[in-house]
Amino acid sequence: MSGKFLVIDSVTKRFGGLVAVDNVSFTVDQGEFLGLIGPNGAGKTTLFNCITGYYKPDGGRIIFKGMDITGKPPHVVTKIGIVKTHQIVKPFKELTVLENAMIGALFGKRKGITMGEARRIAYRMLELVGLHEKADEYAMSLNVHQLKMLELARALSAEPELLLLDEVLAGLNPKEVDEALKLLRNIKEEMNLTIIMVEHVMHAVMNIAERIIVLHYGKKIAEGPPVEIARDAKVITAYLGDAELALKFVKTIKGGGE
Amino acid sequence: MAYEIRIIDYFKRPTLLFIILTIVAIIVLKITNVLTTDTLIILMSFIGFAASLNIIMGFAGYVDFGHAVFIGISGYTYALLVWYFQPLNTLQHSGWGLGAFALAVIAGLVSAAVAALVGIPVLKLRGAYFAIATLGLDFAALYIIKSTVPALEPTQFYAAEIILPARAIVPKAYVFNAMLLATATVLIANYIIRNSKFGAGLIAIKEDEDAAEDIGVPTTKYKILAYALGAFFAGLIGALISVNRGGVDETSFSIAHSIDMIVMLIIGGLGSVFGTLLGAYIYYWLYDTLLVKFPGINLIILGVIVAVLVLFAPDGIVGILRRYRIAGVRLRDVLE
Repeated sequence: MSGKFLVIDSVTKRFGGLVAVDNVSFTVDQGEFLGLIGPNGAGKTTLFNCITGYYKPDGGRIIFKGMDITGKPPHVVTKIGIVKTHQIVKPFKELTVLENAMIGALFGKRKGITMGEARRIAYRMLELVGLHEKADEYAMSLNVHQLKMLELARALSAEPELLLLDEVLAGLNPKEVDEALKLLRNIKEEMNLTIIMVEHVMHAVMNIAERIIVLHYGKKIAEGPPVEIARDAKVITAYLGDAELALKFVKTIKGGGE
Repeated sequence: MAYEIRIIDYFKRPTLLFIILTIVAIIVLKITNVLTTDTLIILMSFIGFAASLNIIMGFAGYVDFGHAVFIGISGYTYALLVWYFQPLNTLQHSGWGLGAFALAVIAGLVSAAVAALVGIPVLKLRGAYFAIATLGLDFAALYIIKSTVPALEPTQFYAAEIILPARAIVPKAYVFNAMLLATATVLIANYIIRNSKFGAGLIAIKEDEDAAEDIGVPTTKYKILAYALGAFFAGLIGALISVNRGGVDETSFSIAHSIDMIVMLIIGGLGSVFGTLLGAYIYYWLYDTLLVKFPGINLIILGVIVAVLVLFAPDGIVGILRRYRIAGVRLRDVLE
């Protein structure tokens, strides 16, 4: 176990009587692209928040590169190399796009970084996500798609080894989703990243993830390659309460069978 | 990447020029006797107080309604030190004001220590709750002073007032020098913070504290440090004000001081060192002019003017100016 990149070992998080994450265990290899799915309220974001230290788990351990990071505060976890993007974008509105990304570079993994270096890293990340032409504009003037990309660029500027993406594709149109997927593949390659992605855009996550973990009411109910997950009876049952998602699943199964 | 070079980022501004101009202007006004030494000391204290609050309220976005507490704490610390320790009394008369400055630094450090201790629990609160807690701190500290100081030396202190004996009074010219040094220090500290990683972190905290923490800003540490620095500088200036007055009383803790500082920052523009300077000049000028021209109702008029300003320019003067460009250069890039 200790040789693994990230180990989630029986993590539990309760809110009063509600068990949001219930004894979840899995491991992630370096360089992997892992999808984390589940119906609304399944505990995906809570699990992310346990990894980044926003919540302290009530039980279990989180081990990153052999180091126990359970309960370490978010700013420490960021410096160790784990950064997440927010489901609801949280830009620094009154700063420019470049300055937003600079904050990421200044407080990320690199110690003793100068303003000039931070600016260079920030600008390179903006180029990577295609926002460099907006570098000089205020974050508040961006549209949803651009804000999502800014969120991504700011996270990348911190130079993470493990990137946690919380619904980066939500709110994007189909064309933008396709572009974003292409972008994520490139970034992962270029920066040698390991990515865990929480996503509701089912065809996207089925398409890009190498392995998928399904949470339902805080419990892990399935784990495996996308094709297997799409055929898993437990997963389909979990999603059946949601007609729209069930339909998407059927489509994905068809796609997998071809 | 020609484009990249064109960008002047948020964390580098030519504010230093305005700070130097301010210091030079004060020295010129003093030499030419345009304004009295006393007036200049008060003007500098306004600038210094506003700049001290700017660190926690302007940069980090925490509205501190109890900032006067740090004026009070250091004012009493200074007075008691001079009263009880003869060598310190000798010290404050030395070095053309340098001695008084050194003693004020010690008093300011006491304020900073209180801020750091109180800040650990209080800075967990946000928004209005933080503001109310700081107000509570001010009242609590005043209560402690009022109940302990008279007991120290009942025959010499009336209520909580300490009037320094004649032997402890420092010449005005010395006070002026010490105050000039203190004001320059707090302004330059503001400038350095503004252009540092620390300042960038504070601004991120103001914009979105959770996002700042997630991206690696040690928010708790930075907030406590900013609060303690603000307290130190308020204390430094506050101690010199008590030297200037020849004593200290409970009005040092007055919430009116806190509000003065907040209004100066709002008039000028929060978080901008230039705005802080501008706000302090304008507020002082208004305060002074109205006091002379409309004695008795000056504070009512001042209140109305401030209300109108806040209504029409909630981001302050720099807040308005920053939206404009002159010859393609964003004013924001120059002014802050």
